[in-house]
Amino acid sequence: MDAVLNWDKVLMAFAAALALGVSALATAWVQSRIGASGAGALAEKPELTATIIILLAIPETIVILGFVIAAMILLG
Amino acid sequence: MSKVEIAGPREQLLPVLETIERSGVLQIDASTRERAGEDAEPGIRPLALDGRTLAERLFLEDLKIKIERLLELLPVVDARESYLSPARAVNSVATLVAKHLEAAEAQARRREALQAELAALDRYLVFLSTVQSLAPRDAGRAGLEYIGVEVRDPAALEQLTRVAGSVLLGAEVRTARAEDGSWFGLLTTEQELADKLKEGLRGSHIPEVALPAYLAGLPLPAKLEVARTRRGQLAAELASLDRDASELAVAWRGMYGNVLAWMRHRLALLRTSAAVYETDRCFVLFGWMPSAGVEGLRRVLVERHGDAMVVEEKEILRQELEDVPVALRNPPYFRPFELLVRLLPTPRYTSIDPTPFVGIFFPLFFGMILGDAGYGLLLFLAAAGLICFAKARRTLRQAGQILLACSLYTIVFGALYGEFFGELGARLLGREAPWLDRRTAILPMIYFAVAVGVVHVLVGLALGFASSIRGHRKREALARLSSMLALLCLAGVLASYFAPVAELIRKPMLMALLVIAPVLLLTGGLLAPFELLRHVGNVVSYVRIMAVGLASVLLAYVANRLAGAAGSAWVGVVVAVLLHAFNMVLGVFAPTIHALRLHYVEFFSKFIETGGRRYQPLEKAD
Repeated sequence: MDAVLNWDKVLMAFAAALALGVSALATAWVQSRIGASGAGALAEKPELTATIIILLAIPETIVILGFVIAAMILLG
Repeated sequence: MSKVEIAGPREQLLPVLETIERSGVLQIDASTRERAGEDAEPGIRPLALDGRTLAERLFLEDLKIKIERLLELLPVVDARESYLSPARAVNSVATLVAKHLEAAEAQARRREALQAELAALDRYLVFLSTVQSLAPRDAGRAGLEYIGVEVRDPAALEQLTRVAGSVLLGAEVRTARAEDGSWFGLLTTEQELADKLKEGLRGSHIPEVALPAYLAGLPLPAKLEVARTRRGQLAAELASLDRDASELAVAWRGMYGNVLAWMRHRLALLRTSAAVYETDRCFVLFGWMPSAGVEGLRRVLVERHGDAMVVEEKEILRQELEDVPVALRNPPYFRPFELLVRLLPTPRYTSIDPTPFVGIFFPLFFGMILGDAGYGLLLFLAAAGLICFAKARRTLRQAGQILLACSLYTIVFGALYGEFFGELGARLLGREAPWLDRRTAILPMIYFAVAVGVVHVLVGLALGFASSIRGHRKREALARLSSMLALLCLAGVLASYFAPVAELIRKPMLMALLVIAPVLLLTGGLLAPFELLRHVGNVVSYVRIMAVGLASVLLAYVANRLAGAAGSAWVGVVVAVLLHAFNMVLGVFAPTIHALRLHYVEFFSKFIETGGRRYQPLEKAD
């Protein structure tokens, strides 16, 4: 059986995984920092709930952009 | 909102404040007068409280502290309802509360002492019961002394044996483990050696259990007996104290609660008078209220307090615009969505109320993300239940109303995507998705989400433009308009690469972009291109609608697949129910958070100016 390895596909899959994986890690790291600080701030000022949610949600754009790039690599 | 000035005879101040409080429409604001300055209306000065009012305030403040302390000490019970008029009985209550407070404080002190003794005695009982099992049969024999020690660390047992051995020349030490897990030791020695042994124990930091004085000198079995009897006495006394406190609470708690509520209300009125002004004969109040209510308040005040009452509507000055309190007023459908707007700092009076736009777009985004008719149906039932059962709780009811709107959009989008608990509905009916299958149509869904983002961001920019026009900020308005047109052109150019029909618009759009660019730079400054880039980033952020939705539909798909692979029908049903329930909980939280974020970050930033003051009228608390 002569299975031919399609290096283009392998590299594309790897690039897509990298785009999504690295951006997800970046988002997770930023959210961990914001989450820890936000929890501290909330303990003292509960009225900041909405602001903390916004701050926590802002870095999610990074992983969304990563997802878009991954989708463009695989499907575009 | 109207700025009003209310004037009337000085002796009518407190009754007028009560009427205003009952009507619940006026926010008293002394700062409006402070801003106007003394020259505006000479002869008006801050109200100086007369001696009688001041004495009443001090008396009530003192009484309030005493009653609050008493209610803190009394247990919470179903108290008798009080029909006493607090205003008339307040002097008698002041005499009575001193007596009751003294009794309650004495009870509290005694209870604290008894509880401390009881806790110590319980510990002694554990110790005595443990060492009794260790004591030799001739424990009552004269000339012997028993020393009890507590061993905190089992490793110290060896040290105890060593210390006792060095003092008593190899005497045996008995140890046992108590019911609560701690270790006790009993050392038996001749009375003449006892002091030497105790000294050795102290030197080795092994604590001797010191029993209370009334147990000293008694033989070991008698000590246990006396301690048990004493414990019974303490428990009985504690129960009797609790009974007395309960009787006191049942008889008086209701009345004191009633008087306290009246006093808080009265004190709030007296404190409000600090924001009042006076002339030689009149009091003058300044404040804000909805324009529609001015005539009603004027009528009520004249009816109740006579023709001498004057309510005048004043002109709002330009420099006062930032201080006008903001009240959100919306049609019934949009009113629950004020809950989501209130989570953020209040917008300025000159800013646009975003509630109607949240009411339109929030459920739409929620439905687009969750998009499952089955989940939507369950959410609809949950929302209906919440609205029915939380009639008295406004916030919960409003949350239910928001959920109801969201569930309807979820059902609509579920029908478009052909999803009913994932692909289960389509499989049972043997039909394809009527519009598109979210699991495979990834690129079309991305385009759809981005298109929705373009519309939402453009609406935000249009509102920002309108807001600038209203505030007569021409340069800012032009910058926002050019930003809006530039984004529209950019979206058109990008769309022309993906949709063949739109190819025709590419050239005109590029031309328009070239014309808009210099205007944008001139009005928005050098940072304008970065601002435009931020808008593009905001639009891309709407892809989350597709991404979170994809995660939701794939989870539902996995739930159905796992249920199918379970082997047994019952196990399959249980697996499916559990996984779908989990997905539904996620399906409520994730779309809520993401839809909120799209509003708070991407949408509101285009037009909302925060820094407003919330409208908080003087009103009677229930």
